[in-house]
Amino acid sequence: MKDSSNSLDFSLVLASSVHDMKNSLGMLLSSLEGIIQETPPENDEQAKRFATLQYETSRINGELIQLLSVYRMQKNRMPLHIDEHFVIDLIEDQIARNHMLFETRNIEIDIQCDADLNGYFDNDLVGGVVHNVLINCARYTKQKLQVSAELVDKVLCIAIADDGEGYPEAMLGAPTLSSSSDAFNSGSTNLGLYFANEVAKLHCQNDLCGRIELSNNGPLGGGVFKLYIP
Amino acid sequence: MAYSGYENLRILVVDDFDNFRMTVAKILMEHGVQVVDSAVSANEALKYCRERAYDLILCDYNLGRGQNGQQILEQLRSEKILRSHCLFILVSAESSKSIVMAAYDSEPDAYVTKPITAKSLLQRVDRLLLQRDELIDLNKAIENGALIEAIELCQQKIAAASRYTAQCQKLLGQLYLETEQYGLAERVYTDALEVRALDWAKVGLAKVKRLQGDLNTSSQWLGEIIAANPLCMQAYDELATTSQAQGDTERVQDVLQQAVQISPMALLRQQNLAKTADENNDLSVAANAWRRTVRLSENSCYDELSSHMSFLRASAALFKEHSDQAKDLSRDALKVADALGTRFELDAQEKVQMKLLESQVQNGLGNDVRARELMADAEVLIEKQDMQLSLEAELDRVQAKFAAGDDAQANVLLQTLTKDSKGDEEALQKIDRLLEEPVSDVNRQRVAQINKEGIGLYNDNRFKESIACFQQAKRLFPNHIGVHLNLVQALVAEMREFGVQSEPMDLTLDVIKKIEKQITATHPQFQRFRQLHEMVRRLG
Repeated sequence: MKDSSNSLDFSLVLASSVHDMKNSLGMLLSSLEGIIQETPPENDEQAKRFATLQYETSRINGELIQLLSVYRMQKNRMPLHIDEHFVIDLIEDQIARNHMLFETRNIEIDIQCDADLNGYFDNDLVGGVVHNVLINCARYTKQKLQVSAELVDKVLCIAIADDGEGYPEAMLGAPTLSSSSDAFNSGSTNLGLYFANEVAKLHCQNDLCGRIELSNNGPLGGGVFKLYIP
Repeated sequence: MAYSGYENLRILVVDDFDNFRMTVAKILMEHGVQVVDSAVSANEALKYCRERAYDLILCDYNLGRGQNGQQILEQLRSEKILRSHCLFILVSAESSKSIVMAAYDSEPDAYVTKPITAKSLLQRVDRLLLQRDELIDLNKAIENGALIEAIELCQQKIAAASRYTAQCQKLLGQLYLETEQYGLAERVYTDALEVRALDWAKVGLAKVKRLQGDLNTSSQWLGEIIAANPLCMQAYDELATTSQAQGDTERVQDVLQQAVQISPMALLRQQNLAKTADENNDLSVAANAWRRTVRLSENSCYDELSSHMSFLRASAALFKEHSDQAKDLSRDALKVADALGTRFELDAQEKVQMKLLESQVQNGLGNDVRARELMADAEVLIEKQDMQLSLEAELDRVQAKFAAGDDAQANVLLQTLTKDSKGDEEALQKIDRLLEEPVSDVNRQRVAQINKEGIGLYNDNRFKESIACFQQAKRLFPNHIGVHLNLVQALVAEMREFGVQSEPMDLTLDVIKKIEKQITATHPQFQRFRQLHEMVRRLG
């Protein structure tokens, strides 16, 4: 359909270009996986480079997906399919998705989740949040990550803890949003947190809506990201 | 909890990139799978599927030219090749699974998004196979139409509180609906809703209400579901069905228009919208919906000759209202018509009908000579083979004559048709749209009813509502002079009361022009027309 006005909807152009980039990156990622599989690294130096390649492409990919999702949320075009799911499936999916990353970085992952624990959420969106946090943690953690899920006062809590230095002071608590200029000046757009918070807010039961929480001194001594879904 | 039966599985991987095919085949073979076939195109995939049964088909969405993965799935289902024990997984680069899933007419068992790592793919497959084995009896019972048995199996699974309880509840609701046990279906959905307000249960409950005959409640609930979650496609489809049952075709169109805007890829929904708009005589919406239907039909097992004909018919009709839009659509329609021969085997009558339709379109485009040629060709064929045309084809013939300006011939043909269809209500209703005044009982009552309503509003000085009423009547009975005159009268009253404005004035002048073309000095309403025309002149 033709647009009657001549003005260009920049966000639309951006969104469709992001979409293309994401697809290209998808190709890149799968080729990369193929290469690593066919020609395993011969020394530590190579292994490190592979890890960097892997990490950076995953990160860009995650970022692009978030951009698209935020765009869709703003246009009210984000389909929300809340249904009953097993939490362990979601966690395992996201860990499997990033297993190359953890392997190349020698990160050990501990899962604490009852196999029968279920929750009501949109699998893709919450999966996306967990995915992003995992990628982020892979960068800051030393050697271990713990992903756990449990019911806290009937609210599902998915927590991801690392043994790194912890989150910076300014990010602690329940971050709301950060399209603020501060975020841009510090070089971080905090898009990930914004996305996570928006996804949490889309999950409501009665009058209670989801939220996220960041804290330090977690079970592994580092930071903890918590996503609460009623 | 890994799946243990890999060595007995037969798997097909469909992708036009060998990288993915090889990677997947390699992983699966490492897990003991003996048979992994791979196909690079839709044709090859279909050929394999017709030859042997698979347990799992991993199919990429985008396969270059020809059918896409979704269309392969639809084809397999329509040919009933896909047995209940076969899992179909669609792989795509599209990030939002739901947009794509909601977009189509047939859903795969799972949908995975690229980029996908070997490990996560295997994990998904593992989980799906475990589920398949757990529910294999149930699915087989459904496939064999043994619904009573299927219901029992569902109940057992739910009672055993298995991992698949939620799926079994959904299935149980559907099975109760199919076996017309509405009260029991209602129980399933209300039980589910007590735990959580999930969309599937809400929609299910609204469906129960419709099937129990409580259309108003059903429609109200569906409206609420959509208000809360505007992307719940099932709710739109249900609401369209409910509105259809209420006889409110305007609402059906409205609902479907919203739905296709959100999810434009579902062919059957587009087709439904096109048919509804045809029925409502909303020319622009109909022509555009037919265009989208025809576009989506390419390579699809739902491709139908009648859609292509409807597209031509609708774009030709649009010349009466929006000639610019009609030109654009007509060119498209002609292009599609050109390629039709390779897609369908046309019989003699269909060939004639195509010529008549093309003739109308060519007339609209101003290619009178070509239009006459086509019409003449068609007439020769009809005469030479002494063809008995279907009513639809006859009406296309009438339209072609009107389009060519042969009104006299067209009217003679119409009279014959009306006479021949005497007593056939359905046929008469179809003829009505071309007549000045309807001849079928239903439409006569309908026009009388709308006129009465409009005049009532007019007498109460509610001119705006009266205008809206006559406008609807005008759309439904495009040649009814009485309705058009009533509309003019209401417009004049409105402008006398509230001042002359450009929008109602333009409409008035349009309508006057239309009547002028049609009315003759001997028409019983000619005097009234002249008076109204004079009043308009004085206003302007």
